[in-house]
Amino acid sequence: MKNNNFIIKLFTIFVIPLLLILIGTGLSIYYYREVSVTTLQYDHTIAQMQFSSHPELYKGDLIYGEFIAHEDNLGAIAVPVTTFNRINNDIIVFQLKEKGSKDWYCFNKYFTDRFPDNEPYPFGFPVIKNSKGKIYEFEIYSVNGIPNNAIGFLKNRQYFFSRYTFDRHTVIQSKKSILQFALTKSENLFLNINYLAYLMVFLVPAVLYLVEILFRNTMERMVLMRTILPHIMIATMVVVYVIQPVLMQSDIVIFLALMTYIVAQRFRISSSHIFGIALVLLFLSPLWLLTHMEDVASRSAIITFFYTIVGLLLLYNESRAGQKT
Amino acid sequence: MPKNFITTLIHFLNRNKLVIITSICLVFVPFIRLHGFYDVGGDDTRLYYIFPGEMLRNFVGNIVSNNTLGTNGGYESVSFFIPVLLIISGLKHVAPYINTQLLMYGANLAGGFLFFYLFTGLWTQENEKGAGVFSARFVSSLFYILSLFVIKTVFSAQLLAIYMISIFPAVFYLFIRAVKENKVYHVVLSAVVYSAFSSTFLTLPWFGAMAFASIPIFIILIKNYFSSFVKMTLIFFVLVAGLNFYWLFHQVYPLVAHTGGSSVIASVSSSVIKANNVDLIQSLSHLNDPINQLSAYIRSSWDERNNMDFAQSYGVLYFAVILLAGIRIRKIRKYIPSYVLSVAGLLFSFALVTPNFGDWNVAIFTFFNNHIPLFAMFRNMYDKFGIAVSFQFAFALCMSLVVLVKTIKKKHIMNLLIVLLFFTTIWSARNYFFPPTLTDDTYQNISGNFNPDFMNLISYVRSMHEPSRFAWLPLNFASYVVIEDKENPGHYYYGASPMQFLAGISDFAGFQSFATTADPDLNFQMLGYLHNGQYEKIGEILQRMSVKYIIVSRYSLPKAAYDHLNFEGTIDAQKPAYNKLILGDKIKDFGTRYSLYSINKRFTTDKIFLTNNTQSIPADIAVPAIQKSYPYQYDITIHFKEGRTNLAFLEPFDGSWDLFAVDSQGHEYTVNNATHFMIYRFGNGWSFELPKIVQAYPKTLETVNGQKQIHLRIYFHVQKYVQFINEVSVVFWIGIAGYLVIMGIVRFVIFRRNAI
Repeated sequence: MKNNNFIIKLFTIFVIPLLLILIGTGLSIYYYREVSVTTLQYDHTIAQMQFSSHPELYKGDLIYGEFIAHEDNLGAIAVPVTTFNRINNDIIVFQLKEKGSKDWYCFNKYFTDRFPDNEPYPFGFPVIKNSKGKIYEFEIYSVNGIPNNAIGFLKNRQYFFSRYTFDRHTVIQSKKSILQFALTKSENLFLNINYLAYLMVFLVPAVLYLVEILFRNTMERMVLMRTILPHIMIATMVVVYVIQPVLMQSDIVIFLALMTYIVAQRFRISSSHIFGIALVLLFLSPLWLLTHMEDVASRSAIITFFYTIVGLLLLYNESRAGQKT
Repeated sequence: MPKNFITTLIHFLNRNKLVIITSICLVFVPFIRLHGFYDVGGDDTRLYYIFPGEMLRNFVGNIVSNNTLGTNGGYESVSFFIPVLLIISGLKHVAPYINTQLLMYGANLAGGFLFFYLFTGLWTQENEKGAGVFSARFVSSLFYILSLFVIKTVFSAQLLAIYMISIFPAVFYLFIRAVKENKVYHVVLSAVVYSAFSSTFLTLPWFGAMAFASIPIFIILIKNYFSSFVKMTLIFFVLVAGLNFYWLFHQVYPLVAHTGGSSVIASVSSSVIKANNVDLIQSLSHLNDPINQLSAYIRSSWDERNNMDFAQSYGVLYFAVILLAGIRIRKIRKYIPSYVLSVAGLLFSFALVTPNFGDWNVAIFTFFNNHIPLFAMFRNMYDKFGIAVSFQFAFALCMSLVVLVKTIKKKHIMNLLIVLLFFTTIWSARNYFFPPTLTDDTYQNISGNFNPDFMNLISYVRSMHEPSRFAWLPLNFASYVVIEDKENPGHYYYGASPMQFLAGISDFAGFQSFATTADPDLNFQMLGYLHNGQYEKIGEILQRMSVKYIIVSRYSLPKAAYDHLNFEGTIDAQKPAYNKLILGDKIKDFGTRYSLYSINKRFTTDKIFLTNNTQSIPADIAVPAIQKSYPYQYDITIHFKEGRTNLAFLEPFDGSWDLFAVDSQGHEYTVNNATHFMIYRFGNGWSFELPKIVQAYPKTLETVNGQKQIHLRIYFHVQKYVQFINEVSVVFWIGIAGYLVIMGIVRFVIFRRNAI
């Protein structure tokens, strides 16, 4: 009997939370849109780049960058571009070579009319097998850019990423290669502060569960448990989703809304609070536009939309509960 | 009338005088913005405001041939135009000097405002007398008719869907009243309003979109009034089906009879259309950012390079009011159901007007496209769901304002909010009241009178009674004709060809006209031939389409218009060598603007002829005597000969065209041994043996001046049902009108008794 209790306790306190953490981590990787599973990404600071004097990239302006490749299989450089929230009918050229080399390794032209706003745009090229440790330099320049019809590179986002794409068959050819790549990938992910913040969203179910089983008896009495903790959980999800510069699958917001609904139901957060959060986010959206952070404004609007749905559901439940009493 | 009735009426007018005065003022708004001109042109011409009688007489009754405007159509009824044309004709007779287009636009704004105001009354009735509730209803009604969701979509396109602004709230208001009060009278009225004023078929995507976005309202009606809802819905659909049977039949018949003819219902339901839509849906999901909807803003075209910026985001105020009401609503619980359903409807319509709230949104819209019958008609969703969002937004705004009125005790705060919303609405609609002056755009307004050269041209062409087709030179990309105004130089009609209803002929104005069922890419093939200098091939296509005459048109247009017509260098590519090859003898000049030519003899053909070659049109065709009795009936007389005869009839192929032999008494005999097939990848061909016809029906052979001849009749057999289906609709219209009159009298008598 004692053994059984111990096993149940072990299962409840360790196994389930561990499972929830693993599921959360798995989901975070699933929803992560920055790079594919077999790609590693490293960021490089603005010190390694030179920009034009104005935000827009006009004909003749040049953006130059250089960096040391962290790995073999260099396959893309991703540079955050801004479209200034408009369609720009320009063509830009991206070229890259190993420093000191006479010829450019790649020379590609891109139409800018469908460039995403405020997202790192991946300039791809044939994978360079033995790139590790070598210095590469790249240039981006405009062919037709004129004021009000050109993409740009904002000063507050002067960084770029180098991406290393590994062949899937090479990665899975042996247990050793799988393990080796998994370790490298984990290191690559977990040393990325943005990814860690993003991961926190998916750990909310685990936290919620732990709160439930560890503080079940005290929850009703403790202000911290009743009010502050759920709000912290919701705020974390909102802030990470809206502000973190991580490319994630858009459907993650459904997960967020669902979690918010569960947290609100469990901790009896009223619909008014959720509508309040939605209202704050709504008013923030134009402010993000003002600061040319259209991507943030967009996510802010999306979560406002979903929080309005959550608010309506809670309101409906409250109304039914009111009718019953 | 009894004194009490007048008193009640005056009381009603007094109580709602601001609403009525506002409605009257709104009637004049279009007159201010369009300065008395007709704003015409485009794909649906909008000439029905100027020539309703001509369209009624020469166009809308035709179900085949003479039933398209500058294009190549087959069996297709356009009779759904009839109610709208009757209304405009009536207006023209009552007030012949008033611009009917502007009057109707004004009435539409007023009707939209008034009926939306009444609609909101259904949800706030018990508090109607309060000034705060009145303000909420007033401001939200104004928002409904002036939001950017309608200004940048239906007001901009000016198709007949513009009337959904007033028709939908009117129909919906009457329907909901019928359901709530369980009164058949209102649902009958709602079916009549819908059938008489909405031009039904043409506006179905907009009406459908508004109804679809109103699902939350329907759910609450079903929940609260299940039996009444089912009853009223059945009555509504039966009445609408009966009242509109005269055109509905033609949409269903090709599907049921498998004639091979086209049907919009069939094409919208086709898997090809659905598959093509998927790409369009994906692409358009990026047209608007999610913040646009929340800010009551919409981007309606990729031509708008700049998306909404901070300065334009003041519209978040409306949604903020809705969220604020959500925060406060728990203080006034009885409004929770109507608040929840109105906001749910709004969110649902947000997700439909542009599926941009995530990949799930695109996936759901695509699922609807693939699985809900006819949903494919919403493919350019921002346009179709524009009014729907405006309606749902205004409804949610109204309910939210009512909640705030009831929960905010400090009246000055509410007053300030209402005033702020009022001016925000007026400000956001400023471009509607005072459109920016674009010199390139002014050419599309006309006085209502075409220049004398064009009027002379149509008189002459009408007198020719020609069954064959005409083509314009130069052919342009958009398939538009350009007609200058009589009194205002530089002002043009710029749209689909009106020759069908003005001159009674079928014509081709541009390359888009030429696509056929068998050759859907023929228009682009022709462009290729033109650019490659293969003018002979174009001549052969014109011949295949039985083009017999060429109208040369000379105009100078503003650059933007010319560029539109000359897209892909269409006009510039029609060099003198092309003109020389296509044009035959000049028939007549009409001033400096137009000249009429016959086509070069090398390409001359006729609508109906006998031929030995069914693969390509030979030079030696035999043209019989042709009499076009009606658009659906052609009588021909051919000389008797032994062996097989091939008859070509150059109207788009349709299995419903039948061939009959006719005797001297006019009796028709089905030609049993004739084979009906598509000829020249376009027209109808019959192959038969005259001796066998004569053997079966000896009376059909007659001898005139020693020549044996036989009369044949080509008849579109769907026409034989037309009288019956029209009669069904007429019976419904008369019956329902009678019912409404009787019920109106009964209601009046009851009202009078109660008043006394």
